[in-house]
Amino acid sequence: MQYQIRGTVMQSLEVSLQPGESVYTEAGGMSWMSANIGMETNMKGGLMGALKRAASGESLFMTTYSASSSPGFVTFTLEAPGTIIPMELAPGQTMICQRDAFMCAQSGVQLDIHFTRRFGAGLFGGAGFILQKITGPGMAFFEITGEVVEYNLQPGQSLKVDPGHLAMMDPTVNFDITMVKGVTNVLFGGEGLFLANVTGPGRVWLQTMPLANLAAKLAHYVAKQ
Amino acid sequence: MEYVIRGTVMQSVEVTLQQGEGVFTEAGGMSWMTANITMDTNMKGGLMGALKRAASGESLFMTDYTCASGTGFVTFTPEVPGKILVQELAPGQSIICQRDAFMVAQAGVQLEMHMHRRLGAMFFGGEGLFMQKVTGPGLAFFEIDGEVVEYNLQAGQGLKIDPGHVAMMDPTVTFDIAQVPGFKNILLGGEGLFLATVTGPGRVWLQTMPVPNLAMRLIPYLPKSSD
Repeated sequence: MQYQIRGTVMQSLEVSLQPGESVYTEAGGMSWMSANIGMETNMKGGLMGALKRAASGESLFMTTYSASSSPGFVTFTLEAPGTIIPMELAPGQTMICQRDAFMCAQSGVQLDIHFTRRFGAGLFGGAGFILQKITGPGMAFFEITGEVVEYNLQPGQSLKVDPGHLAMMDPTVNFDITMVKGVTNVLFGGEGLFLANVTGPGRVWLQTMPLANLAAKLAHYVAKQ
Repeated sequence: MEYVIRGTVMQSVEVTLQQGEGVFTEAGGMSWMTANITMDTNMKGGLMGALKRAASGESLFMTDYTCASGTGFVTFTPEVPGKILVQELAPGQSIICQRDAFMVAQAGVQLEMHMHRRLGAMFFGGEGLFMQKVTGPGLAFFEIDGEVVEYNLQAGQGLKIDPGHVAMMDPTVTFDIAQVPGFKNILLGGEGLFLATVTGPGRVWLQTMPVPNLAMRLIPYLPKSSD
């Protein structure tokens, strides 16, 4: 499967499909395509798969775009300024990402909810910290809001992250949510009560402009309904 | 008329005017200018012209910026991240654009409402129904939400498009809105009921980040009335 990523900070992804090839995305994700591409919307992975996706904040329904008789292309775009990260996943290779980061993938790639093992993450995580697990084989594409900063953490090396900035990580990275210690931080820190703690080994991808932060800046100017 | 487009993805256009030269835009479109530029807001094209503009979603009133003496400049900026496209239109040459895409043009350029002739577009178009026709002679500037992808379609070559992504096209391009076939797609697809189809020959300019889509993404994070 061939693809091309265009643009700088408001990117678009054009996937070229040969006859028989297909990609899938959340219902509603396509922006434009050649006229010979077929669309089919269904509950990929059956009812259980759909419900698990719904639990992680994704759409119940997925749409599959296929080229039937002749080559064609499908273009996906980001709805907010951001960067697209392509990953070629080997069979069984997985990536962990936050729920809005999954963009589209070649058919054959599995999309699952990811339960973090750490107690803190589960208990304090709230809806914002539900993660998805993407498993190969195949190409998968991720959308990062704002620009991306990648760290390759050594074993035991860790970062504390305002949770909205965490976009994606290798499954070897240990993820936990911890309460910020000290009443001063809690009341005046502005980081909210919780910080994510990611510990190597493995890669993490952080995003500079989480949508919740952009919305919070704009909210001051938006008239309440 | 000279101009310079500055920036990468949050651009501005600065138009340099000699004495007697002018540009016009929607009322409220100017960002900054030199002190020797005069502004005149009017119903360009008379009442009928103004009403036709209103029907296509533009402002009733347009503002003319004219250089009274010497040399001056006027700067226009898009309100969201995006690209500015410039077209030098020959006399009688037209470009069709979606109603938010027209930014500013040299005096002499005509701005009209454009209704697509195809039945599908007429009945089902919603936002696709009314576009604008911009006719030369003169320079015209267009704003694209996000980045721009241009296709030069061969005769008969078609694209299917989520309608908000259509920014601009040559008048030779056929535009229609069609229902997505298959009941499942309609109920579950999330594309709404309709996709636009554009068919060549001619150029189309598509925008990657329509403002309604950006707004839809941000709305869940905005305070609700109960707050």
